[in-house]
Amino acid sequence: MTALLSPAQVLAGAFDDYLGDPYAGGTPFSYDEIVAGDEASELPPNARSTIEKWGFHELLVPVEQGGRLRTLDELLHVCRVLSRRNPTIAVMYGSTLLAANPVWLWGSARQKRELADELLSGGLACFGVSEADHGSDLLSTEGTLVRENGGFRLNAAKWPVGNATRARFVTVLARTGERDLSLALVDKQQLSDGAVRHLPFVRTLGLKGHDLSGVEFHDAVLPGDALVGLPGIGVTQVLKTLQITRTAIAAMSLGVMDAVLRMGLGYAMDRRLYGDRIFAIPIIRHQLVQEHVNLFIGECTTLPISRALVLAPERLSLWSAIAKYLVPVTAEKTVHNVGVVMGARSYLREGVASGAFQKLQRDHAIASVFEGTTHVNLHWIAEQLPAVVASAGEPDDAAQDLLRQLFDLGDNTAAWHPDGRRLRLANGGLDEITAAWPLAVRRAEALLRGPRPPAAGAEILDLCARLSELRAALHHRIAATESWQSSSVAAITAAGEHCAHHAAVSCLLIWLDNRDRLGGAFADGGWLVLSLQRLLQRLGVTVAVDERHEAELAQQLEHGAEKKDWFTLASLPAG
Amino acid sequence: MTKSLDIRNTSELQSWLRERIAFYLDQPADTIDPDTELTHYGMNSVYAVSLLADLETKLGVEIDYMQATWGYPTVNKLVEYLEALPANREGE
Ligand SMILES: Cc1cc2nc3c(=O)[nH]c(=O)nc-3n(C[C@H](O)[C@H](O)[C@H](O)COP(=O)(O)OP(=O)(O)OC[C@H]3O[C@@H](n4cnc5c(N)ncnc54)[C@H](O)[C@@H]3O)c2cc1C
Repeated sequence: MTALLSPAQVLAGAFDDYLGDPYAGGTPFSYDEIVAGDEASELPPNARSTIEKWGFHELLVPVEQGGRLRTLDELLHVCRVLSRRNPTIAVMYGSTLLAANPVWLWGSARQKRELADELLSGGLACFGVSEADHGSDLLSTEGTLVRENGGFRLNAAKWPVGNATRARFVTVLARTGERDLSLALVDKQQLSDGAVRHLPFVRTLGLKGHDLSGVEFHDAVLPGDALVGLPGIGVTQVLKTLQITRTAIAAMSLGVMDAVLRMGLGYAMDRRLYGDRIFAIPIIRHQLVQEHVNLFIGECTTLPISRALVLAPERLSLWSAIAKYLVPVTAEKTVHNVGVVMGARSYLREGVASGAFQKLQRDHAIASVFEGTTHVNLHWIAEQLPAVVASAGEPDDAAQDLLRQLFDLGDNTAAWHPDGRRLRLANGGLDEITAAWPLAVRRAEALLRGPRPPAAGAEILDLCARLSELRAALHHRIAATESWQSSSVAAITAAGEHCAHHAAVSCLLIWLDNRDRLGGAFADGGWLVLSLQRLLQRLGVTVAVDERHEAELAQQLEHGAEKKDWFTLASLPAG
Repeated sequence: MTKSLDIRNTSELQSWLRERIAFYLDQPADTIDPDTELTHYGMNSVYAVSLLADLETKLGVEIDYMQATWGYPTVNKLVEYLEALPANREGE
């Protein structure tokens, strides 16, 4: 690995080296064994023991509970490295983290200790929230948790839920009163025979080998201290918990984007037609470059949001929904378009990369569905938009300070100390990131007037001007809506546009705050021109492709394909 | 929840409401501004119903949920609403 976007990547770099080249063959994390496992609907033999030997499972447990989970950005990079190879395993551990987070955030000392012991010894956990008949409608949850003889009696059927059969501990959402929902931590080993029944593994499109099944509790007797935190705030807790893992799902999408780009690029270099590599065909090159740009946009959007868990957890309700919506749907497009480049090879379960493309495509299809579907996330964003627009003033000193810490990736953030009360159900209109757009544009203008104007500065400013117009129009549209219905089609559409603007500010600020440190092609800003163009296209604007910057990036891609570098902003060539 | 709150004591009512809202949102009570609309904090209609039901028990009054949720969306407005309830005026 050459350049580093952030010191938070160091751990992931070591993990990547440990897992080895996925093309090499013969290891549980090489594509041949990954595809063989997928065909058999099993995890590749020794996959779990291999990463446990490295200590991957310790990353599910915060440092203060004896694990190695220090920050979300560190975890995100590691998750990306794993998802680049096998998203199924990332989901298996991700579901475990989802189940564990309520305990880290609200659990008692005993619950924390017992769960930490279980996870540090390699156990999985299950987040038992969904019920077959209620999906996203958590408030209709039917499971009941009735107080009895100083303890609780649990009756619930949770399906479809990850690790339901394999996990010992289940975090369950159930009704503790007519209006009250609460979370409880259930240790299956403490239940009497017959109190727990597992439902069969669900047959799925992808994630084959993941334990997606169900669990039923029949008059299960739980101790009096089984609740996680206070009774009556279960839905609040679930929504807060999702803010963390929703951000991690974006990392899974980044890993899959990285993997398929590499496959597409490798194929475009190897495949010879008409006497030349197909990489020489303009539309092939264009498509690969453009999908690479999507990866940049995904990185710029996700990394600051992951830092917010430590720096500004009060903002995650909005920001995590943006990452969870934008990055998976962008990655879906990338997967599709790289599939077009790979032609028939994208359809084969053998051959190029041992046929792993279709496995990654099927696995990744879940990213936009679980932990809030695309539309559920857009709805959450839409609910907050009027307040965000109303308070989108110029960032004050404190806001600018926060922005610098979020976007300057050169410093590691402090360690995360889980505390549920610091997470919020809504941002209350506070969104330093999108409010920073005018300021960021002024900073870019100042750079252009400065002693060493960036190579692509003028084009960047031109694109910014167009984005500013669209942003003003969007804000006007939202402010002018008299009674905002967040579930209306208009509101959901506005939420999607807001996400594109969020991504545009993120790209611009990542550029401004890391130019001096990273230098080279990153600082020149050709990638930023292409990223802003792509976002304008996303907003429905017809933009002519910038051929010069595309050609530069194509060259860099070619170079990167040979060196097997990470596909990231940091691997753009140094000056 | 037993009845123990004095509906005529504005500051007591206000601080009880802030505490209860903070409980449902799981955030510190001092982060709840009495003049900010509760929807800004992500207080959805279901928690609003829970809050109003708590109030009914606590104050021994009947509340029109629709009217209270839509017409009195902040802590201070809710206090005004409660203080103006007919049951309360009769008791004076
Ligand atoms: C592989 C996999 C792993 C899973 N793991 C877990 C797990 O570990 N734990 C767990 O508890 N659950 C898990 N689930 C369940 C998953 O979280 C639910 O499937 C998800 O919440 C969506 O519910 P649903 O599919 O029933 O869709 P529904 O909620 O029934 O939605 C139906 C349609 O309505 C739309 N819709 C719903 N609400 C809104 C809204 N407010 N605005 C606009 N549109 C809306 C949806 O987008 C969708 O198109 C898993 C599912 C899968 C497939």
